[in-house]
Amino acid sequence: MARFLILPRENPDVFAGLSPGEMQAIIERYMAWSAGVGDHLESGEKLLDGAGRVLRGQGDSLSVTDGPYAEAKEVVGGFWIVTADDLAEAESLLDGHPHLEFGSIEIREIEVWDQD
Amino acid sequence: MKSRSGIRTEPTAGVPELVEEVFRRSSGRLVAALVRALGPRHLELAEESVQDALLQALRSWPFSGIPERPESWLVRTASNRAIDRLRRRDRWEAEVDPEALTAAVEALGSPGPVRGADPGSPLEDDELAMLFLCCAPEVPADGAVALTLRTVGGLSTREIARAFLVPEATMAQRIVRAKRRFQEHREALVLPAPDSLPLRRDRVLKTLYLMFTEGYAASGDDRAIRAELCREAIRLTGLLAGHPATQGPMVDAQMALFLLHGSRLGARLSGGGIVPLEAQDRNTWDREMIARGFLHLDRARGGPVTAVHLEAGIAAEHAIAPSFDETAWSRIVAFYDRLVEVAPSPAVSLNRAVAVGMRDGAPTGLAALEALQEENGRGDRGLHRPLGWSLPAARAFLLERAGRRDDAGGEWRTAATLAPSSPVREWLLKRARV
Repeated sequence: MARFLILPRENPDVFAGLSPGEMQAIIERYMAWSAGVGDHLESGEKLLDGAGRVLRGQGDSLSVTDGPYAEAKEVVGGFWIVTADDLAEAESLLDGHPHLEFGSIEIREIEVWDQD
Repeated sequence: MKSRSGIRTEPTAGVPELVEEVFRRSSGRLVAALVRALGPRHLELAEESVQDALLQALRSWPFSGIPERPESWLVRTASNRAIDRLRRRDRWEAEVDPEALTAAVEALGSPGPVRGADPGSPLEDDELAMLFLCCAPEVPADGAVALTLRTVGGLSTREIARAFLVPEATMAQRIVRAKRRFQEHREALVLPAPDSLPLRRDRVLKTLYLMFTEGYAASGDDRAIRAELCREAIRLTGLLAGHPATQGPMVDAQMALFLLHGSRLGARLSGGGIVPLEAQDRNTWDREMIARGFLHLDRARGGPVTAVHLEAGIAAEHAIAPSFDETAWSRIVAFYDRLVEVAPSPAVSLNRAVAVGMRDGAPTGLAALEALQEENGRGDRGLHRPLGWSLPAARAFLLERAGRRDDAGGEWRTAATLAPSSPVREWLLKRARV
């Protein structure tokens, strides 16, 4: 079994103007996906919106800017870790994910070093 | 969305689920609680803070899961957002005592009764007080319905506009104007004083009656929203019925009316169109709502018999009838006879004529319709404005019963040209073709 980092991206304004009823319906669809993949879903964490920094080295000094919200059009709101046999299976697990209606999903396999 | 691997997208057992409509209901309760803490002047701030909290939940819960006590989470988050927003405003310290305000708002964050189920619980009182505020005398009638749906009902402006078939901008303006009225006159969120309560409560009842009628009639094209309006009218009337300060036979009569009509809503709206009473599958009528309706009908005794009482009585007769033809039409005509005295209107006379047709035969009913028109002395055109499509539709119905199919077809088509919305128009045209 391999592990995959799932990064959903969306435009921060995509959920603006929704009614309470509409928001609940969307949450329920996300929950249904989580329930549907069962043990494949290892974990998930929310990243704080609006906070964050981008650090860059500039010779001897450090450049710190507010980011990535200030610059990017699409932001990562959180991440999931999913287990699957391979990338193809991971892809099929994410196929039909409700987030695809609102933004994109990046799937990256987490590399494992064989200790042998 | 369907997935290629066939992953199910329905919730499974054992996974925490959100109680149905909890977002909408919480939104209403939280706005009310914040308006209590901040004052009616800060209604917008309250609404924005609650919207922030719901949005935060939408962004977080897909990753962290639904919290054990969703409503407590929302209360805490909305309170924090309100405090954040207040701190960022200029001169807020001059307007209010910051410490008292923070204390009041933070008090909302402590775990309270889930869903505000206990009568007399602080959360529920706020919602009731907010309901009275939205229906305050200075707020115009259509504004009161819209504002109630927005703030207490938790519907968005867009959803309300769809229900009433007006452009969203028009509805937004209506709501802004309504808010402005009470913001000028009301300092704090409190239930009306005992001496003004009966009149104020009547106004609330009328507003909720408008709300239910709008949902039950077929003006809007969105079936889900229409059902929502009916459910909300029932829920809010239930608040009145459950609180010692506001309950009474008139409230029970209206509760009975709504529940009995509401029990048929599923059957009425099935298949995406409007299914008239004579064609509804009575097995799908909600028995629980009917039972509750009769409970309230019983409690509605002991006061003056109002139009709402009589309408509830008619609804009750339909509820107990095994079929349209086996309905106690004599008793229904008797109710209409009293309604004509207590609350005469063209609609009442029209419905009475149809009931007479069912009791005495279609020709008698048709004669009653003719007599109705003659009485008004204005001919068809005069009655069309208040009655619209329902007059030719009633004629068509009785003509069919009298075996005059071709004449009936013509009347159905006439009715269709007057119909306000496509679901109504479609079923009228369907009747013409059958």
